[in-house]
Amino acid sequence: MSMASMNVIPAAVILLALQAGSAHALDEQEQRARIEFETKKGEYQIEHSELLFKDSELNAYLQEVTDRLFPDMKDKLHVRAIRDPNFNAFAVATGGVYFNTGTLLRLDDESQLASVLGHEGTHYTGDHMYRSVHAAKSASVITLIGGFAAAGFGIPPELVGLVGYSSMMGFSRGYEREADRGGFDRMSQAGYDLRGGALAFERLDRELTVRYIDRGPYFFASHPNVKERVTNLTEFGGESPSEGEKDTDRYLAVTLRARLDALAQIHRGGDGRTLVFLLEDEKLLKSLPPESRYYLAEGFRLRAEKAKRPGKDKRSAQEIEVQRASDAARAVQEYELTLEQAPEFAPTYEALAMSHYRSGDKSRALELFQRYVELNPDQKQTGYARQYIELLSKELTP
Amino acid sequence: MSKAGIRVFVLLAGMAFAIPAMAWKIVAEGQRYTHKASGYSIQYPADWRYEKYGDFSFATRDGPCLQRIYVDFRKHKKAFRALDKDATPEMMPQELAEKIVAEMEAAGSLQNMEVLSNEPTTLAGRPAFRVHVSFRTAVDAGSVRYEGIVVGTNSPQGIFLIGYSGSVFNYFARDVDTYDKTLATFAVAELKRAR
Repeated sequence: MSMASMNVIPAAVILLALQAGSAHALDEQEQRARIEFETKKGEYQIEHSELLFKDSELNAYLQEVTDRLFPDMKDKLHVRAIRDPNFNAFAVATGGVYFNTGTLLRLDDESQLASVLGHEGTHYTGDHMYRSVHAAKSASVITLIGGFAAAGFGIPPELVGLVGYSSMMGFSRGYEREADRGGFDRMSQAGYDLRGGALAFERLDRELTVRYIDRGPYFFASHPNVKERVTNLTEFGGESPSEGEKDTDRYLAVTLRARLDALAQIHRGGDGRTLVFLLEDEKLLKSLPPESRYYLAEGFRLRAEKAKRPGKDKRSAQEIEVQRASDAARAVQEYELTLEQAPEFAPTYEALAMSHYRSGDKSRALELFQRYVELNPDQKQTGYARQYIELLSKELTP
Repeated sequence: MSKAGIRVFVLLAGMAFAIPAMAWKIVAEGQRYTHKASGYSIQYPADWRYEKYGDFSFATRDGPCLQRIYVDFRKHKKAFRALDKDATPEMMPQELAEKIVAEMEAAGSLQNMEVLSNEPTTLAGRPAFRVHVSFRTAVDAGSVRYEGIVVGTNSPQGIFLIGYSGSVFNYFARDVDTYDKTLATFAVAELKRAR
């Protein structure tokens, strides 16, 4: 899209919004009915899309934690996992709470999960969706501006209709602080470790710095918002220090499938920087099956292949080249380590074979391609490896 | 959009408006199109209209936005402009396929792009890749669903990409056999020296 057209669209959206908003002022009942109608429409779209992560055990677990935090809201708050590798969760006006698999990947235990669920649940109990729409005077303005913002940020199309009627892109600072406070109090009443929230958002803060993200597609992906969460939660924690429950083992067991799926999605998206950031944390790596180290190796490989200076990277070209070479070497080390720890995991053999092929060690590459084909019976997946084996066999035959 | 992005977009989604005015020619039965600089020749389907644009040529029956078969020849230097990467004569089909997919993703103009398959094949007797993708054009370009296939191979003179894309509605499936027959006519002459 050209810069000119980018400038024209916001103006057009605001004009449309103002026209829609001026047509008829809704009373509270009408406005609530409208919000409910739009929200149900959006939820229907989610329900009939590929976005929901279908894992009944996980969904039951998320619901159980929510019910523990909000015992007075049982049957009103309904939590579902969404298949999305980004850090996000959002609540809607009907009591639906949607939780990304990417958020589960970035949390360590149940207390951290409770901090996010507590925050989102408070948006619902605090009636923030209605109050925000009411403050904006017109639900049309919310829908149009929310929709425009979502389209600009690359939010999945199935969620665009809900942007203006959910906590997806955040509320005013006052409501967000209220949600932080409400969530914190709920955690305290439920007996969770109160440091969970601050720890989770501190890590997210570091991730956003490493990925040079200042303003992302969701509320939690925007750096200033995350910093504010850390400040609020640290401040509340200072008022009432306590050691509560974390229930790490259960959290890690129930969320394993979702966390692996999020990791595979990040890998498919070619985001080496995020893979390295997440998996260099040995605690996360240890909570996953041994073959997951493959993704760390892939993270280094991808980061090396894409090495060039992003806008906010102040390093010199020479420093970037040093980093690239170091990443390429580290990728090989991590592949080798994965082979030791998970010798039956086929993809590592193919990746390491490619690495040796590129560096000119063709006999080692041939050996690894052959092992890859032995371990992977899928003819379609091993087609390229067979192509390499044929070529290298000819080349290396005296 | 960058020039490289436009090139990917034009090739896959067939947005003819990005190309200067053309004088279409009708393909005669048995007529081969030859690109002297790279040494390739191809027989586009008879009665389709064809045109060339720089190092790529393409043919369509009903219009470039509906379906098209194209040949894109790229020298190794800056072969993947959208990625700011060169190719080398040693690159294997799998590596080329990865770069082509990355280039489509980097173009940013193809929405919901999904790789349906990526497998080895041969092209003009050379080891090659075959990538099949689906995507939509952006909302302001009609959000039209397309599928595309790119078959590519490497040579001392550069990379050859023979592609086909068509609107899922009515066109893609109908003409995919014609594309496969066209692929079989593709030939590359050995040039005396790389250009």
